[in-house]
Amino acid sequence: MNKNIFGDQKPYENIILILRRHPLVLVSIVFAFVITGIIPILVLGFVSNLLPSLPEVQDLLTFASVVYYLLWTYGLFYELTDFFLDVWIVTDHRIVDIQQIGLFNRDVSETRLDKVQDVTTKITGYFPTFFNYGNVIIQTAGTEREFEFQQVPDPVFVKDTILYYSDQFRSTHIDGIEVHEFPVQ
Amino acid sequence: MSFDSIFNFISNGISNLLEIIPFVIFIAIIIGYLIGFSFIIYHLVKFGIGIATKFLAIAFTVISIILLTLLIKSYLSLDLKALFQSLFNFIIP
Repeated sequence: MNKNIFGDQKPYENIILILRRHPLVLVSIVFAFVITGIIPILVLGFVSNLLPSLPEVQDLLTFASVVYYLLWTYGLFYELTDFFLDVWIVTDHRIVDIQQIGLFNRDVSETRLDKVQDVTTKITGYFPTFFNYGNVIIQTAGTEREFEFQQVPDPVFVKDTILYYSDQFRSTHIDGIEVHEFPVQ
Repeated sequence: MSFDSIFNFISNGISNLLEIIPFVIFIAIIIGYLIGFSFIIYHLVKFGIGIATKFLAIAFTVISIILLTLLIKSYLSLDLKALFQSLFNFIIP
């Protein structure tokens, strides 16, 4: 039996892929925060030259900069949490799409692999082409929603993997019927 | 009631406000930050998948402790009355 990696993992399924956005997306978030982290140092240096060099003023500037960096740290970790909690999981039975939107909106949806109809990859832009990342769109049967893996690394490999395991699932689960014995306590 | 007593009453009121308002802001910042911090740590620990989220939670806790200590230290060394007096003297020499 597998180690339970995500909360709703079934004892009979194996995880094939755990996907997050490409690390370059993380780098762009961190870069933006590095820039906003440097600006106050420059501004404070400029302002402290204008204001009298009294210890009270220096104390106020120190306090203001600590408050700023407290909010800055909170913002940075908020964005990092958002990045790390958006996960797409492909198992040998289903696809799970976990989207964390802010701190109070968590969207978890899944579809069985036999419901997968077609899989499309989209790589648009200079950086996605150069660093090989993009979106994978999974169309499911009937009126079910479509799944979109956003900015994931190597989308073509992801597409091929999903289609391969979808075929495998269909060949072993005729008419989508699946019976599992659950442990008796 | 003489003019002097009214003036003293107002100046004492302003002086008390100068002491209370920064303290209220300071407490509000700490409480607000701790609430936000708790939510982020809760999400990382409960829903995080993989070692990266655990590492992120530890890093956030350590950085928060350092920054909150600095915040308390810098607040305690803040003398607002002296600051306003210095700024007043700087503006109107």
